[in-house]
Amino acid sequence: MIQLPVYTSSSTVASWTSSHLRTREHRRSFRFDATQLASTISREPVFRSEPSSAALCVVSEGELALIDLFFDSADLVDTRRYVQGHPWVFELLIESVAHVSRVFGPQSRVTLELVSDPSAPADEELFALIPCSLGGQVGRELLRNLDTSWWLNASTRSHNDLIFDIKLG
Amino acid sequence: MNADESSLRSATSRAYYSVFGTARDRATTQGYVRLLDGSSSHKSLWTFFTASTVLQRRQFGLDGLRLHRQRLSADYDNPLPGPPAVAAQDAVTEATRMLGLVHTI
Repeated sequence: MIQLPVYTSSSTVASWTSSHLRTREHRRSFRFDATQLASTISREPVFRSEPSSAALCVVSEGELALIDLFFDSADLVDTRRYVQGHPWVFELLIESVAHVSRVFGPQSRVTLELVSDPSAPADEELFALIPCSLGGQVGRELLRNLDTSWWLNASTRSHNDLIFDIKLG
Repeated sequence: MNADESSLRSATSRAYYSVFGTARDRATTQGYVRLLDGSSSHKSLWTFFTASTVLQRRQFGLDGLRLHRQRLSADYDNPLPGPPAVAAQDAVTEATRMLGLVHTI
């Protein structure tokens, strides 16, 4: 277990990550305490929740590395492109790590999947799919727990560009 | 794709549209008008609910967006990401639950 530093903002996290996790072996052996991570990040969060102001913000390569670190992606290139274009999604994804871990367990590794409706191809949404092997009913109850304890309020910052759901199977 | 899988995909899709149609009718009585901003009629409707300050309506909209993804997967993903029977069961259960709520929101 690597002792995480105390973060003051997500850019600090990104800086720490890029300087400490340069090798694949290091990344592979990296085990994080998600609760610790999120609580330290949220001490001084950098909110980029308004599309108008967020257009001025940039998601750095270091920050994108965090997304790669904490999430699987159905299509890495598409996910990176989308997160870069939606900085408020980045903030919410980082926030989600601790909340998902708390509700679904520390082993829950979320998969990011870009979904678009063929009838409106420009209408893309990033789905964060939480694996659930306990069945649909239990999975939906856990998801409802995540909603009521965090996502229902946090989602107002997502502009429906990010949606959490369970992945059955 | 075998006939059974086709039926299960169809069940998922129909489950979604039963909720979509009922929710759209409900929303229309509450002043919903689809915005012609290029977004799909689906996203437009569910955003009508998620934009609410009432938590129950917001939850309904979030669940609609989730069910919409299941419908897109059933209609377009090949192969399906998981067992079609599991997806269909989940979609029908969710749709039934949402149909029970639609007149209370």
